[in-house]
Amino acid sequence: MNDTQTSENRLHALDAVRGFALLLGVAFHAALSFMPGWPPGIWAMNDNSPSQFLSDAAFVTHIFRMSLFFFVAGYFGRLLYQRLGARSFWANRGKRIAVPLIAGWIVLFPAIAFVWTVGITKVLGGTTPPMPEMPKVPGAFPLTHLWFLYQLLLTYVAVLAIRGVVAHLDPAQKLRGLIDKAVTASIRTMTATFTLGLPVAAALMSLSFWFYWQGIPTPDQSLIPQIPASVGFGTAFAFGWLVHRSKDALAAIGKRWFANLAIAILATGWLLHTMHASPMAQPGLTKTLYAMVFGVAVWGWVFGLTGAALRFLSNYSAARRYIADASYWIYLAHLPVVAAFQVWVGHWPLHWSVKYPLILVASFAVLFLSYHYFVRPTFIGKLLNGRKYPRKAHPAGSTRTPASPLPADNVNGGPVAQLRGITKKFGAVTALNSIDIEVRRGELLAVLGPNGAGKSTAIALWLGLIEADSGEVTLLGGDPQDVARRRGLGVMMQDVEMPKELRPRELVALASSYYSNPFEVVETLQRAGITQFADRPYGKLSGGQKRQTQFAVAICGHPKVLFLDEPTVGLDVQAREALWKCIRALLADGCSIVLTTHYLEEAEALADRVAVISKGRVIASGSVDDMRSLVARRQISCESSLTVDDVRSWPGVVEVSHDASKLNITVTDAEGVVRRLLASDAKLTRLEVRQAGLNEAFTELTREAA
Amino acid sequence: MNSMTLTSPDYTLAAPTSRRIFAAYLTETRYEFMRQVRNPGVAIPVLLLPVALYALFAVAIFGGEITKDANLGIFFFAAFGIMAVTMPALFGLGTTLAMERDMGLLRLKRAQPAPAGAWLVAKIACGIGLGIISYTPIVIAALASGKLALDAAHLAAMSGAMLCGTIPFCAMGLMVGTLASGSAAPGYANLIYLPGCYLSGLFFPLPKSMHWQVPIWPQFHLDQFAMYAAGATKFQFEPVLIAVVSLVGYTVLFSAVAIWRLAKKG
Repeated sequence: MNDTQTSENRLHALDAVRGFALLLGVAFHAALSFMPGWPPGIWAMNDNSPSQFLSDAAFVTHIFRMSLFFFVAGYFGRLLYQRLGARSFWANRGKRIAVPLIAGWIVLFPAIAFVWTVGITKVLGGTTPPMPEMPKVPGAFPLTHLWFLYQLLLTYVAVLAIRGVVAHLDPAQKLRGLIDKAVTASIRTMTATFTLGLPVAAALMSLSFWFYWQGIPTPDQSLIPQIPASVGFGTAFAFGWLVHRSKDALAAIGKRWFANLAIAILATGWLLHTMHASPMAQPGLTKTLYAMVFGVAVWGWVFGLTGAALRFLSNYSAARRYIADASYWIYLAHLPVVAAFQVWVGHWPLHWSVKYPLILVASFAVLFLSYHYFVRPTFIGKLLNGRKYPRKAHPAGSTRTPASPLPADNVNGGPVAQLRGITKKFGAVTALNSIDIEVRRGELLAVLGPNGAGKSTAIALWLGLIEADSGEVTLLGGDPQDVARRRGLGVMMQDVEMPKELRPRELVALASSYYSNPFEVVETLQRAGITQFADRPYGKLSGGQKRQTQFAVAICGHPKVLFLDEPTVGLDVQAREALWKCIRALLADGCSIVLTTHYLEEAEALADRVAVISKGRVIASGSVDDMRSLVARRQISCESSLTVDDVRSWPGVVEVSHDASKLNITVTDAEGVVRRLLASDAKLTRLEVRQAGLNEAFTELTREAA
Repeated sequence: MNSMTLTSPDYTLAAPTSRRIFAAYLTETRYEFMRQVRNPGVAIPVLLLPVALYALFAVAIFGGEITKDANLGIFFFAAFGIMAVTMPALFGLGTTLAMERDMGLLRLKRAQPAPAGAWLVAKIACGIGLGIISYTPIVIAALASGKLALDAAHLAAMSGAMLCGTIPFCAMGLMVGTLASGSAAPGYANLIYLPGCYLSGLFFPLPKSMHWQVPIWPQFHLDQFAMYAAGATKFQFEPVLIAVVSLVGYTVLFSAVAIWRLAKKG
């Protein structure tokens, strides 16, 4: 328990880190119109109030933000892979990464291109810039800021390929055990901070053109993987993956947060100083040193910030959770929004210290609002974050009351619906096996049975939704496929949702239009007890109110026969009472009702007859009293010298069996049988008496039926 | 208590009058329409986007060029008009149908005595209705800004052609709605719709090297049909008969896939 809680808390911290890295990206891009000395065309706008401070700040965030993101992505990548397995992992990544990449690009690219054209036209004083040529690199493609999704997909492929090879070479996990220990030790001793940057430093050193400011060059121009980015972000991802493997690594990162941040700040200070002296890397010692220190800064920030989050942000916070959820959408959508604001304010005669915060506030306002209204409650939110949140949640009442019995005074007619000798198979599974059930006029038949017993299949046959393999189905004296018969039925199914934009009054009016002689809409609403919320959108109703609305839709046609599939699930006490009252009124009207339920108390409250289905057969049917006596059976077990034959003939004994050392007796009169047992065998031991519940009654009946 | 003692009595109910059936179709259509209009996810992009884009491109950005070359005005009008009439058809039908399948609503309707096909007629009527609502502001914008040099007869013919052209997109929506799940349908609809808009040359002329692939896209044939109706010879690249046959062909193809899938999965 403690373990799970701790690991949950760690995930909160890492979620926060990931959200931070993404939102930092928005702040980074928002600063790019203020870069001093940038020629027109590199960014959408060149602001008339450039800022050296923003240039340095942007440089600092750019050192680590993407490495931090890939590190956390590696951690979550392995977590997901462990949880889902290979197949579902790829399906999940396809939805969360590949679809946003493709769909996002299709939508965002024209928007970005448009804002850029407008912005550069403005910078050039009104002349439209020539269409930019595709960069002359192999595989050229303008990935825009969505490059990180593409890079992430490539990284998944590479890391899983390596994982496959390692798993093949190291079946006993010996090597991997050693790696796990090394990972934790390297974090504790902080050798990781100093060595993990070496590969990316080597890749950066080999670049012939390298502006120090750009750090790891952004691979947004080509579909062919770029070496510095693949090495840098690949290392971050792989180490995140290993940290998830290794048991104590995360705790070690949490402990070393301060030291790592201190190193990061020192290294960054030196980088800034060196960059100010010469912005372009010249071959030589400085370049080598710069690349090395850059690597240290990257990992100092990654470990320092992750550690600080683990140390201070491990508890759950609704606000942080919301921001972390929003951050993915915000990062995906931010670029045209941010650039549009940059273009808009670019020529205003104001200082950058006013304009930059303005751009940030306005962009975040637009992006958070769009998230709240168009993403979080919709399919986009589900696609990006795995779930959608309804804008307003209603708790559904589910309290139950004891049942009150109903006098069965209107069982008076022939059958209105019959299944005769019905067999229905789905593939190899026999859902119904030569079953016979009938519903008489004006009665309520409760169909009881465990999950998968065949109840819903029986109802689907009566509704004409499926056809039987053999046997005869009749509804209101004819074929249920015949629409003339179906005009006499009403139905409330399980797992059906009505359109959320319509209101109960409208849903009832729509369903009423299908029938020849429906109740007035107002009467239906009153009967179902939903007048109070009849004009509220269905999507805003509570779970119980939705069921009540479905019930209203079922009865609106003044049905001759009504099928109710588990109608009271999720209803509160009053709603259930109201529904029962309405059912009784319909019965008194001469309506026949088939009701499936798990709850015997519901059958007791309403039913004239009960049929118990198990494994596709009717294993018992009869009046409620018959069923009550079945369920009133009790189970006695004891160790005794009495034999099965001795006990079998006693009054109140239904069944006796003997296993290993114990005598098992099913009885209707437990007290009488126990008294007699004790009297007949003074040495009797280990006496137990148990109430047979409904489930046991089913099980018992099933065994009897077999 | 009463004389009913037959073992299997016949309860056949009187068929509703044709007035009631007509009323049922009408009610279904009305509520379908209300659903879509109330859904901001459908209503806002579908109804406002085309006219906003038309105003931006045809009036604000290229207004000057259109005054010089009237053909350009027809080109833009056709592009955004087609966008206006086809988007509600595709997204309205596709998304709602996929969601209704997820929700079990189609199963419920099959069990209820709903007139067969009422939901389909309602959805198609709605797709066309919303298309008209989305298209009208573009006509008003075009006429008010004077960026469309067409006489009344040609404008009427072009509008008629475009509205007929919604039918294949209704069928496309139906196909997407039956193939995809509710949460995936908008994504798939976009994936087949947006590339079609760009690659059919609807919004901007394509380089010669890409001409071979334009007949793949229904948008191209609809554009051709509309251009023929408008009498804009400059933009006619295929005989009108081929455009019409292609549109009918797509309708049949998409509907066939949808029907096959509905019959198989429900």
